[in-house]
Amino acid sequence: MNNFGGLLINEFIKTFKKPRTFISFIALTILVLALQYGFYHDGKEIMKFFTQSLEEDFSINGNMLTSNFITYLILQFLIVQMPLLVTLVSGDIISGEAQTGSLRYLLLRPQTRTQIYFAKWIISMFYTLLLLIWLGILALVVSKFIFPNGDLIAAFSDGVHITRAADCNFKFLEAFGIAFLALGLITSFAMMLSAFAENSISPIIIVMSTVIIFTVIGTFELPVFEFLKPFMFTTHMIVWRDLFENPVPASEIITSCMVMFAHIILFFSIGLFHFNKKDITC
Amino acid sequence: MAIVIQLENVSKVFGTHTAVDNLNLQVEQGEIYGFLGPNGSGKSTTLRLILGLLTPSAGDIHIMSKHLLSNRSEVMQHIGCIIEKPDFYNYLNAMDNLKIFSRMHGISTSKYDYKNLLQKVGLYGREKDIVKTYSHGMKQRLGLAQALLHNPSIIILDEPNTGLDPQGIIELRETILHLNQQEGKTILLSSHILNEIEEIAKSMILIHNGKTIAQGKISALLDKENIFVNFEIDNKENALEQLKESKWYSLITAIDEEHIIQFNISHDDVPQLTKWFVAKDIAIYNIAKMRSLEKYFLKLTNV
Amino acid sequence: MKNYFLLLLCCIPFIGKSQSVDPKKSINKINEKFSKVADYKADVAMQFGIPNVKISNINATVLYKNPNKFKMKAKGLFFLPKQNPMQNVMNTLKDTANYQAIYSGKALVNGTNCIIVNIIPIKPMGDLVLGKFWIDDVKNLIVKSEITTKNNGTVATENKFGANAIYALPDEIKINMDVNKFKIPKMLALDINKKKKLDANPNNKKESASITLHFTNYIINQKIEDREFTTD
Repeated sequence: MNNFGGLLINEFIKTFKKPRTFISFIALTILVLALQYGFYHDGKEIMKFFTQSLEEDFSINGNMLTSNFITYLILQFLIVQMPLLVTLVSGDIISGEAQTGSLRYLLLRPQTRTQIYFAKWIISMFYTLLLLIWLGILALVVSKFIFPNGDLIAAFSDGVHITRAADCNFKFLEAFGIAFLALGLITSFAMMLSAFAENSISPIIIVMSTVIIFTVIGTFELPVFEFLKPFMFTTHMIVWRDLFENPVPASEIITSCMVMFAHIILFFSIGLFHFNKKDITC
Repeated sequence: MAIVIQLENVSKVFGTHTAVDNLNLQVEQGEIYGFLGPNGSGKSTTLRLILGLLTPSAGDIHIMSKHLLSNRSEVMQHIGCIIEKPDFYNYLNAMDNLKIFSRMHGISTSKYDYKNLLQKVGLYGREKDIVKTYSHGMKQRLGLAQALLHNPSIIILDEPNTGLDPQGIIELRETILHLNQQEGKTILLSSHILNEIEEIAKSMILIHNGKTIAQGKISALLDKENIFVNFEIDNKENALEQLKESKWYSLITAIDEEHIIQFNISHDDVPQLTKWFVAKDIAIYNIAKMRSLEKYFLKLTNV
Repeated sequence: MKNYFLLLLCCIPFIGKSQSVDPKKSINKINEKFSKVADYKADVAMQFGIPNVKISNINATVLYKNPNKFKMKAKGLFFLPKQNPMQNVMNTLKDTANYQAIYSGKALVNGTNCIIVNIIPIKPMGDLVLGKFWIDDVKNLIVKSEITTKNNGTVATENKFGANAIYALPDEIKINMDVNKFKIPKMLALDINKKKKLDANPNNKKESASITLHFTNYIINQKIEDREFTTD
């Protein structure tokens, strides 16, 4: 493998010695802490608004503003922002080097371009995983210190689904697994664009534009866009939420995971093919 | 001598633009080979083709008798280069940059004698500085260090003098000569400072618009050509009037605004032309011969 | 108000037949039975069938102390009707001077012959409009009830009794009620790109909800401390 381990070490050093890498971690920390503070401060009011229709008929016993609920909300709110943070690294990992010219020197080595692309992809995915773990620590662990443990009341368009506290940790573990697949898709997409681009801004803009367009189209409840929804990857990226449905729509989740996995393979393959054929003119 | 770099009918087309057109090149082991051409002539494109950064549209490239595209990994172990400007990871220090390239060549970063390498290129003591703080000259030295890191037998230097001060140019020239003469490395050098090439290269190729204009041993190429001689005289107008009647008039290549007339004549013609001026009672203040590659280069490329 | 009047009119035909059954006597027997309970504690397994709310079963502990201390403790969320029938039924019947009890006939409920007794407040009894009870006149147990209040509509219960029937404490209570359609704030649902599920009730009509409570491990009259009602 022509010292593939060395390649991985290099990509790790290059990624984690670059100050830009940590912008995402800082941004994520600020975002999550702000959300937690907001819910700590005004959570009860928000919950009242959330359940006011239900409380017309029922008295709801038990704490609704739980650490699990906060974790769920944080994940839900950040699913649109996380791709931006992920793209900061994966969208830059090739095009950034093309822009500075270091890609020239990188490709003058005995390693094949496939190995270099693969090493960069692994490190991008590792960064995505770290970002997700950090989100998990902030959302799940920090929330447990601020809010009481308890059941999770999750809102869907067909009603609320309540997950018992005992099931939450495992479900969050699964949810983070699916979120990793979703963000892995974004990582692979951004890296594919990075292989095409000569600057690091273009992939970031394209990824974010795509995510925003797909999300907006997905949010419109217009029949004309209905046929598009299965083909937009954002449809599948939020499938982690289905874990908190009762009963869990397992087949829908598996289908979406397979679609996301197929996207990853597709984006990876296109990116790799282009990278191998690419003329290095930078 | 064995051929270590061989290009056979290599072309590279970008869209409708042919950057390299049917180029043939042979570099012998242990020689310093000059690669000349004005800006945009296809020099860098050719070097990128040799380094596998670009894929040829036509033709074959062999390095050390191995087909480049099929044996790229093996071939790249034998090549060190500076291609265009030295661009590194600016947020890392020089040592970290060198270690990155070391790992890619399978060099143990804990055992490698970086001190010797850094001393050789004149960066010892500055290796912990962030590359962003380096001057262009220092980056060029770092570029040379990464090129030499894995002890390649072929070194390709693309315009290495760019941005260097005169002292830096002299030092680089000495380093190149040392690498060639003492360490037996084959060097393919492109430079826009053509005197440097003339001084250190044995063979050269001159390309223009991607096409080969001239190729071969520098001494042989120069021998084929006449030299350029500048005559500084007292009465240019009178001299030109008289020259019109003579065989020398057609050999005039330039007329200075002051008192200089340049002729393209052979070495043997210099005393005859001098005699002719004396015979015509035209005073000569100075005779300057130019046999430089630079003049040759400028003539061929019509720049 | 028109509805309540109609309800009262419906009760009138049964008034004539009530001569053979004394509803207050039946109620008093039940009250007497329940008055033996100074306090109780029991495990309760709850099942929910609430429209637009998907919630799994939960185990809780129920505590009661005469006259009106009541608490349910569980490690998690659970729903109860706003007017809790476990408390309401006995509270409604307790003071017979507050209402008029009208015998309204007989009915077979889950294989048990019952008399039907309607309760109409004659003094203020909160927002109670009408109470309807199906009473097993042999065992002196309330097998079924419907309590209608001004604010919370009608809450019906069906009770099944076992070993603790001597205290009028059920082994199972099934609560049925009509509820408003639960509306989810769009901001919180965030169902991006989700294929919209068909709305079974697009007209926002009231829907039927049920909560079933299975009681086990009754501990009766073991002197429950007051503080147990204040701690979680």
